Amino acid sequence: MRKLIAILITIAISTALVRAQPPADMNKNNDVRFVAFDVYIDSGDEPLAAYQIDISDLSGRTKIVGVEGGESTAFDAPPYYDPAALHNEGRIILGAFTIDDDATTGKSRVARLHMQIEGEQPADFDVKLIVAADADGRDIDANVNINEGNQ
Amino acid sequence: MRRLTRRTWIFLIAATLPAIALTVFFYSMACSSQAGQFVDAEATSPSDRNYKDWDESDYYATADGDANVPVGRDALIENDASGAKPNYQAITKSTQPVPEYEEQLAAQLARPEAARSGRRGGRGRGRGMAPRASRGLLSQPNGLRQSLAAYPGALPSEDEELWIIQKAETDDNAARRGRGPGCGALLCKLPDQEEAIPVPLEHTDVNASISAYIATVNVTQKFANPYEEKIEAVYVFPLPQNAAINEFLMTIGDRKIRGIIRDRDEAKKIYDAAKRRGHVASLLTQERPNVFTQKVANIEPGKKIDINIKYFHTLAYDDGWYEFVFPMVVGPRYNPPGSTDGIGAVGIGARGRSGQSTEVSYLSTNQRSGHDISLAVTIDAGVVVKQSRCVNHVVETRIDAQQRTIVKLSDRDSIPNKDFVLRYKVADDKINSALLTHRDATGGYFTLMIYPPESMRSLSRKPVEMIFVLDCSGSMNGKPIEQAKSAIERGIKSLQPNDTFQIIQFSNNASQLGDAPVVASRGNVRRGLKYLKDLRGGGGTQMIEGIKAALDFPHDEERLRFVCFMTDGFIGNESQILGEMHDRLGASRVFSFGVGSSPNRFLMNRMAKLGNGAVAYLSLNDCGSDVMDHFFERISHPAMTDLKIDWGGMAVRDVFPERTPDLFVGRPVILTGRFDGSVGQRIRISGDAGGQDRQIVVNTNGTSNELEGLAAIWARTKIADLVDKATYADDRDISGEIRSLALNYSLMSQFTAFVAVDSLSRTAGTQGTTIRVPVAIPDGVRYETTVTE
Repeated sequence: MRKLIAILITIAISTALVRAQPPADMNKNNDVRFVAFDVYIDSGDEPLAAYQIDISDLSGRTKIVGVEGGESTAFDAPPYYDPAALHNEGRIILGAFTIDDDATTGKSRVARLHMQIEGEQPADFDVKLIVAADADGRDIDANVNINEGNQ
Repeated sequence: MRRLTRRTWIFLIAATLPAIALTVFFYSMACSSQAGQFVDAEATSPSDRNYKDWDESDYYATADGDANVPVGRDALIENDASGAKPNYQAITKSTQPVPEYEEQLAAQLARPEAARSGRRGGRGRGRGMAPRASRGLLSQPNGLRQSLAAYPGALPSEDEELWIIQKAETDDNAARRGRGPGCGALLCKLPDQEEAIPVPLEHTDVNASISAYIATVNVTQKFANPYEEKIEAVYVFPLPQNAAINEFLMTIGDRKIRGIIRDRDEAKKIYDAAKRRGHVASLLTQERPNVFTQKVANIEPGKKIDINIKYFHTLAYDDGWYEFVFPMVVGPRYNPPGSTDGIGAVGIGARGRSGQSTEVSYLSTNQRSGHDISLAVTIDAGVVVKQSRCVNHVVETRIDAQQRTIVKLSDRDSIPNKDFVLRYKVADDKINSALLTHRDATGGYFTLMIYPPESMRSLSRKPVEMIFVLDCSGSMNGKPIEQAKSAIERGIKSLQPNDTFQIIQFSNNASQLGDAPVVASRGNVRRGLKYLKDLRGGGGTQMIEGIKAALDFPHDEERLRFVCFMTDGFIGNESQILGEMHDRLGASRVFSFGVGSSPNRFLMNRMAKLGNGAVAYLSLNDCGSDVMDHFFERISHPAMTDLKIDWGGMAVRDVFPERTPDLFVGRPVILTGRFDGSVGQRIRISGDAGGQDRQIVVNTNGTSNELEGLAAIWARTKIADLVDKATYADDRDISGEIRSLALNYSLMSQFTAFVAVDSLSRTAGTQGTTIRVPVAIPDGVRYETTVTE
């Protein structure tokens, strides 16, 4: 009898403890986090009036969930992205231009990407500048990089 | 194992039982939290009920248990112990007194400050019809009523109604504070007044520009949180059925975030995850081609978030008049018994009672929310707009320095409860067929408007077999059915003695004037008019019965058969209707007449398209006779059929619709496609009208107008074509094709959605309370006969 009671209590405790665990989905869903990444272009002394960049996720754990503009008035509107490149190849191709006389020089944040990341490991991006141009449409030299954004 | 003593056993059991109890308690807490986090509210409470089927027991069923939605609209009472802020609790509907509530009420009423709080903070006292549960509660001959009555204002009087948005049970902190949406925003009304009701959607701004026959429309929805804790806003709204939505922006302060098009399920998961993590996020999904749901998560108290949606579409054109339409409200749909994927119509607090996956919450007739609308249309037609007419609204019109006509909705007419319909004529009376093109990195796109030759008006028609089908359901009751009857009356009177006719009515079932169409003799016309006069609105919308009755009887080969459906189209099973129509169409041509201030234009257009006919709209301000005269003018001349197009060197492909529709007098056809190479000098269209060859020439001179948005319009048209095919080809899986097309062109569809997340910051606390934006019932539609409470 006592053995039976002991077994029943053990089963009851075990069952309750097991059921109290959150479902697997919960852990899975909690694994994602959302991080902003700032995209900078440094065009030196050249006025930057247009750009196109190509960003690839090397980790395969990120999803873009929003695109925001940059800090200068020239690029403060959210840039456009190429939906076909994103859908078919997973590449983020961003582009923007200004027709006003407000091209920027030096290093400037031109866009901010809002990303969903799976897991705690940092994201790893390959960023390429496809083209940078001045107000007359001439190609200019520039560097592009991407950093995790701050609030 | 060592033998345990009896005392040890007792100790073991005594120590273990509380542990079990505690574990179970924490588990149940975890479950309730998970329910708030993971259960998709739209997927809850499926049932085979609809708003015509519920009975008293359904009506008085308890709230659906979805703690994240507003429920309860009956008696309420303050329970704020501190007296700092009033807090309210909804009392679920019940004809019987609920002892625990009564005890709670009595206990709370023992605190005098509860009764003295007055109307501060939007307190829910106002005059209005007495809700049933209030009457039930008040009618109880027990001590409670007397206790309540001892406190001035604590009880609603017979002519008062109290509204409450229930708090989220998951937000325990807010519950303790009593300062959340459950208390701060009270909904109430006065019987003879319209009192503003705070809702999280403050304003909708619509800015449209029209060039040639293409409209580019920017819609901005301004969400704000009027409550004292953060919320998720959910808003079900309409857009034109042919809108190619390809841009979505979320604005927080001065920051704009462009939304990303994603697979629908993936977008929902992203949105849900962002919501749980406290990020401001938004999600736009399509429920029908003309019905959408906007969700905005984690709006903090006092904060504002704007959503901007941009779309393109072609305008309708009919006998010299262009027509621009912006729908403002989704009409309350009838869903056949057993359906669960329709669009339910429920009153505030009746969340889940329609049993449908999507629900629209309606304000009752005398209520209105603070949500209003502004709208401006700029028409750049290239020529002066000679005449314009706004069917349902008061507008102000001016011409700017660039000779553009600007039509603006008057501030006096800013309640979004009817379609905005603007018709205009340009100065050049002779409208020519025209080609518009656009090229981008993906290739060339075009639309071609083919206008029928005026010479077709000289041809006369064959005898007709005219079938009038009248929707006599509850939503048509009142002015809509009178409008429709007036149009049919005119139609019957317009028949010639060698024509035949039939009148069919449907609501819960269908009945008709006779077994078969009768000759339009004087006596039969008189009999038909009397039959028509006696028809009344009421009951469900079993449109399927109307379709069967109208299309099933044998066709008279000597006559052209025209079937005229007069309906508001307020149904949730559009696919089923269209499928049945396709299967039974035969030699009939279907003309659909959308009746009322906010008809289901998606259904009306698709019926006409499938039925090789045309669509017309009969708003509450239109003259039924004029609309019918116009229809008879169109069918009084043979259509131009078997159209063949010589593209003149243009290498066209993927042209939609695939089969070029017949051309009716005064009614152009628009084709949309892709092309390679250059545009030729001219395009020739040939066909047969009344046995005679006819030809139309479109001079392009190698050039054409360049218009943004044509790529999106083409992709949207192709998606519509795929959806049409799926309607009558059950074995065809179109989801992959549509998904791929929509993702490549950044387009809304039934399989894709826009999502935007602000990952830069997180709001504090849990995900907040879900507030569904209640909308006005469409003008002319009766709340009592269409909305489930």
